Order: sequence, then C-alpha cells, then structure tokens
Amino acid sequence: VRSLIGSLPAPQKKAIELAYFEGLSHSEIAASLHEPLGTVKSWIRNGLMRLKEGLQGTS
Amino acid sequence: LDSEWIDALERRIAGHIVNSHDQFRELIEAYAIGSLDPADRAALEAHLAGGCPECVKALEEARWLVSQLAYLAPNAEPSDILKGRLLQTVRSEAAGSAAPPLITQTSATPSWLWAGVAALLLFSVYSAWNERQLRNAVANLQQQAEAQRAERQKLERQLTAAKLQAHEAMIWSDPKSKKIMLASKDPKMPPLEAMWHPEMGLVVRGWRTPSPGEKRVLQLWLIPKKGDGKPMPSVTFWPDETGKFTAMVENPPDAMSDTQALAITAEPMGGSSQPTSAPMWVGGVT
Repeated sequence: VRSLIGSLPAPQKKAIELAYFEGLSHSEIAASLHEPLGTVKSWIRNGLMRLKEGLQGTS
Repeated sequence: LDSEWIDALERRIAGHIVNSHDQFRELIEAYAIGSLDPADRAALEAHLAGGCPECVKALEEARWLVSQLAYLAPNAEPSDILKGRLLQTVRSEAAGSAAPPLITQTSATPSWLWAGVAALLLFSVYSAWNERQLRNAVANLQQQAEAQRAERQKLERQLTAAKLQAHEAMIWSDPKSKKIMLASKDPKMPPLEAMWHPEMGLVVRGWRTPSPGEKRVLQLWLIPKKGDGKPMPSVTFWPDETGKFTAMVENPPDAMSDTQALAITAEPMGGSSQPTSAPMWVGGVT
C-alpha cells in the first residue's frame, strides 16, 4: 500500500495526505496549495482511483 | 407537437438525471475520505438518502479504500490541526451536547471516521493500561518468588542446624563416646569439653571462652601417637558473644585409637596447616 501511494504523482499524493491525515476539505486544500478547487478535486479522485486499481490488482 | 415536446422533455429530464448521478458519483471517494465541502456533502447525502444503489455500493468500496490508507500512516506525531479537531470531536461526542460540533464548520470528515480514530485511541490507552497491569503482575510474582526462595533457604539452614544438633546430641549421649577434658595453662581460662565417638565423630564445646581476637579463630588439632607427633589440622571455630561454642568434626583426620591428644590454638582466619601459636588448651585422649 505504501509503495502504491509512493507511485502517485506528487500533487495527488500531497492532496490525499492533506485530506486523510490532516482532515482538510477540498477548499482548505485548494487554499493551502494555492491551486484551483477543481484541480484539487481531480487530484484526490484520480489519486484514489489509481490506488483502488492498484489495490484491487494486488488482492 | 405535444408528443414531441413531451419526448424532448423526457430526454432532458433523463439527461439531467444521468448528469446529476455522474456528478454525485464523482464525489463518493472524496466523501469517504472526508474532504467534501459542506455544500457538496449535503447534496451527496441527500442523493444517498434517496437510495441510489450504485452510489451506495460505490460508497462501500470507497470506504474500504480509505480504510486501506491507514496503512500509510507515517511513523510520526499527528499535526496540531488534526489533534485539535480530534479532541474537539471526542469531547463533543462524549458530552452528548446538543450544540453542533465545532468541526462541522471547517471539516467535512465523516463521524464514522472520527469514531474509528477514537476507537483506535481508546484501544491504545487500553493497551498501555493493560501492559502496565501485566508489568505490575510480573513484578509481584517475582517478589513472591524471591520471598519464597529466601524462606526456603531459611528453612534449609534451620534443618541443617537441627540435624547438626541431633547429631551432636547423639554423640554426646552415646555410651561409646569418650569424654576428653581440655585444660589451659592459664588458670583464668575455662576448661573445654570434647566427646569423641568412634563412628559418629568428635564434638568440642566451650562456655565463657574468650574471643581469640580480631580476625583470628580457634583451631582444633589432633596430636597422633605415631610418627613425629606433628599436629593434624582440623576444624576452625569461634565463640559467640557469651563465649559459647560447639565445634563438630564428623570425619576426624585420624582415628581416636591413633590420637594421643587434642589441642586448640588461635590462628588467622581460615585456619592454618600447622600451628602458628602455642596451644591454649590441651587434652589427652586415653
């Protein structure tokens, strides 16, 4: 699992970490990273989708 | 015309439903991880409350996915922001307050996730408490074992002393034993008594015997009849504070019939292989 998230693009990884470990919302992450809200939403969703595919592939 | 208008309307409605559903579907993962803003979260929850089976199933999968993220937890302290929010949540839920939790204005983290974290914290506290209890129990058991070991050693010493006393009593009372009086040249010195049994050994007793001096002991010697009469070393002993002592030799270095006399000298601690001072007491074995 650790290697899967390590393989994510840095922005996706950072956004997921802020959401999961810091408990920040989309808006808070966007403000924190100075990125558009839609971009942040895409990063989180796409990153989670890649993780899901990776986990399903390994299980 | 009416039918065309109705068909067009139905297509628009169907398209709107599909679009809305797709929009909600894209929010499921973010909802599961707790990053949705309040407006999006409220809209999605309303949609889920409508019983959309596809979204409900997707939410289950998303929650499983998010649960896997726990394995990614870094070996580090949580941030102050997370700690603060966690404490607020635990406090508000524990208090059962009617007031809405403070985090609802700033955080979209779902309550089930907080409940999981709170359960993890509780488990950690319980584990620490349990470990401390176990450690105390082990310490108590070690103390008990140590006390039992000391008690057993004490009993063994008492048993050895009792056996020795019984052995001495048998030597002292057996008719086969021979009594030997040891006298001193110094008239101030009290005489000592010895009792020698041919099989059970030799016992020497004394009362009001003066101390041999600091770091010195009394030593028993057997003077043989044959040979050059060189004294044979035997046990060392020292009187107690009242001058009383009992020294027993279960296996004397020579037989009674071959021994001419017994002598006692003062020697350095540990005894000597040959006398280093003049005999203080001497008694003939006849």
